[in-house]
Amino acid sequence: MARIVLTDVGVVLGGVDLSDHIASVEISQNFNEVTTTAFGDGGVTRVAGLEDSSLSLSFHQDFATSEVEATIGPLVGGTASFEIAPYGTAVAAAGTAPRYSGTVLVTEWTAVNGAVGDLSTADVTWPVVGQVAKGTGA
Amino acid sequence: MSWRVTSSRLAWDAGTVLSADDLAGCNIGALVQGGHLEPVTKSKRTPPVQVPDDPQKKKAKPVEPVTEDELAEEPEEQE
Repeated sequence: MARIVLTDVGVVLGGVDLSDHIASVEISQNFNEVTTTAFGDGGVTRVAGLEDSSLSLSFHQDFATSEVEATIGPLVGGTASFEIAPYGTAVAAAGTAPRYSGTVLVTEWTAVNGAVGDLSTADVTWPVVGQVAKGTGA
Repeated sequence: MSWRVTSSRLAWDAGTVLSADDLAGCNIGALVQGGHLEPVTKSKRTPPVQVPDDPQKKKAKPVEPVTEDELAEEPEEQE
């Protein structure tokens, strides 16, 4: 695969495809750092601890039926599955296109945000529950 | 229990009827609330509506007793 310019990232939240209302996505995979330094070590030694990842999204707000507010509103305070396909859902059958999936805790939601003349957006960062899984294809 | 897809944002086409197994892992309540699904209620056969009979129709006409004389009465022949 060649370099990729993100034009058609598939974003599915709680089983709902909201890709056409999302302008930015970021999966941040982090691991706690656990020091294992012991006597005799010349420096600090470390191993990866528990995964503590997050998913950041920038939504275009939409209050219509079955759109952004109707979909995310009921999820606030609970968990939701997510699936991110950098090449879009249409090329899933290609087999080598990556797909990231997992569960997030919907800890925040900004239903209304913006100044006069602005597009109403909602930028969120939700912590991942457990681990982010990476797969390919469908 | 099953649900019908009502939006175009799910992996299934609108109108598809799904079972709980199909929706495993999904927050069904949130999907219903969000207008993506609607519960499908099984149609029960309802008994036909009983329309009360017309009281006037129900009133049977009293049968007049036929006397022996009437039975014996022959129509008169005209010459």
